[in-house]
Amino acid sequence: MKYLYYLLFLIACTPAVMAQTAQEIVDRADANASFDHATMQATITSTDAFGTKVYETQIQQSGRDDSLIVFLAGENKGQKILRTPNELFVYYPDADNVVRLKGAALRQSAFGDVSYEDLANSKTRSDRFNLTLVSTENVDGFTTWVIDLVAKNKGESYPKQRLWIDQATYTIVRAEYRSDSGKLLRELRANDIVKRGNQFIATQLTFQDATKKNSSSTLRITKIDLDTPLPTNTFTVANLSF
Amino acid sequence: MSYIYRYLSLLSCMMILIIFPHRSLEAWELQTRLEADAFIQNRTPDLGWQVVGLVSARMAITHRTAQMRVEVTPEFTQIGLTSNFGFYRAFWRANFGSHFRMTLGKAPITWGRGYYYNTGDLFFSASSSGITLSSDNFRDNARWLLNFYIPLGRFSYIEVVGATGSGAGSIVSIDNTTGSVTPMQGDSFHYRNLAGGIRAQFQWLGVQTELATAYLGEKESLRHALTLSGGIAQTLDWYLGARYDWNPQQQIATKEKFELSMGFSLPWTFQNRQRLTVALESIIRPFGKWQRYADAGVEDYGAEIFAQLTYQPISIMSLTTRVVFSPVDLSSYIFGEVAFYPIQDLSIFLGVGAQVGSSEPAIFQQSNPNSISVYLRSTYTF
Repeated sequence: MKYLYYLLFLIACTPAVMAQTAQEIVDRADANASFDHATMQATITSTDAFGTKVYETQIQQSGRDDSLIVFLAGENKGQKILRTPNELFVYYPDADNVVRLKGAALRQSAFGDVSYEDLANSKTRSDRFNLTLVSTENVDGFTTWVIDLVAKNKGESYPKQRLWIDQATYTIVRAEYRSDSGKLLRELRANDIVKRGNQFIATQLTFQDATKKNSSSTLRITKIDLDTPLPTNTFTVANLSF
Repeated sequence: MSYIYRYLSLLSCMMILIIFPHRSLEAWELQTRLEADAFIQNRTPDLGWQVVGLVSARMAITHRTAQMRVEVTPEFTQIGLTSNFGFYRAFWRANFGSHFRMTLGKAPITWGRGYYYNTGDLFFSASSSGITLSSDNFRDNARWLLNFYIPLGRFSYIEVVGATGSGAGSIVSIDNTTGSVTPMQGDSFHYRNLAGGIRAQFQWLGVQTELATAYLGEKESLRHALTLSGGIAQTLDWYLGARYDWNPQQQIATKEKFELSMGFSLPWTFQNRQRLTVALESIIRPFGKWQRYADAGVEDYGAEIFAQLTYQPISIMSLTTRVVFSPVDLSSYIFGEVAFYPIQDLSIFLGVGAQVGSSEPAIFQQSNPNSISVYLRSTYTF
């Protein structure tokens, strides 16, 4: 009889353990994309009806607050962009000058369809959106949770979003970004997931502009280093202009 | 042409001497920029229409370690029949721990804030007037200097600079018709023309604040500047600056040289990748001339306004309009440009500039009131 009580207790508890809320899922997905310190090299290929542009970059991140992008090749070679929670510092190598921007530049495109907000955003999604777990779905071979997001405040670039989060790795494998009226503006597909420590990272992200034909940007991470601590002055103006 | 080869050989030898001590050549980065320009203009009535061709080439050679950076960029420019050789940049920069950083050589000094007007740029003029509006970078002037940069936290620092006078950018100029060679540095290294300054930049109530003082030997002038910049509601970036000159010899402030500059910029990216940027700047000299004077220089007038509108409808093309306007006599210089980016790193610009509004305008000092200039410019970086 005692074992029967145990069994009933376990059956009663199992759904509570297994069922996760939308916030728990999204928080874990956000945690997957936040690093104590990371240095990555990425190739960004931006394509539209008129051709393709390729950017070689190095991206360094610390937590959710700070990121540093360095252009490694091409016309913008040597240009650096430091993103902090409320500011953008841009280093122009020709002028050897750092310009601080606090305005709309923060929401501008960094490369093609990739915005600075895609590269780093100091607030988690659960801080910025109301979340609803809609269903589960198979997408590109992943078993995913489907979660709808509605912005809590005005000012979000994409006030309505739907995320497909892989149940095995808590990685966002697909996303739709919509306007306030619900019009589809942009789509994301992510794949080539690798494990580093306790984190899963999608190393290929393809952003598709839904308002334009044949317009997409693919960010392919070619090198990831999560082990080497970043120098303490990495996210400073002094380092930017060095 | 033998003179050209002689000086190219000399520059090559200098490069080898600089690079040779660092034998691990794989650590060096190379970037070459080629530019070809053609101007057709009738700026003066007596000279009529003129065609000016310009070709320039520069190669940036950079060596970088965690604590040191060396950058050498020799530059060759051919304007008509005149060849110029020099260094666009040539400096050594090193971190001394986290305490300070030193730069020695030819490097830019870009103090203050402002795209076209910048009163915080103490080593140079506050106004870019006179520079063709086809340029996309009005302020990248460099000087031979010794610079100490002392960080004070993440976003604050003090910078101390000692620099040469304003001399020409090239080392030598060669007239290819006569073969005459002219050294171009002039008196910029003379001790009387040396300049020095200090600036502090910090954030105060969310506003970036810059205080600067500089002594310019060739002008026998002590300049002070204050520049503030910030943003409003993630919509608009603004700046406001002021500077005045003090003559220590005469113990007076040159009130005509009290200048204010201000501006804002507003960028938009639409969902279909189209981009629009609006920038508006102004310089005000409260004690300047507010009427047209025949002998007045362009920087003597009381006010000037600069506006720029850039629209990029598709990724391979952008349209830009720039206007410099003088409220003193309502004269203006209007410039329109189409830029094409047919392949990555290649840019082609076609622009037309026209002076309108006054027979003796208070801007640009062009004596032909109806002058028109056509610009064709292309740059390729690899």
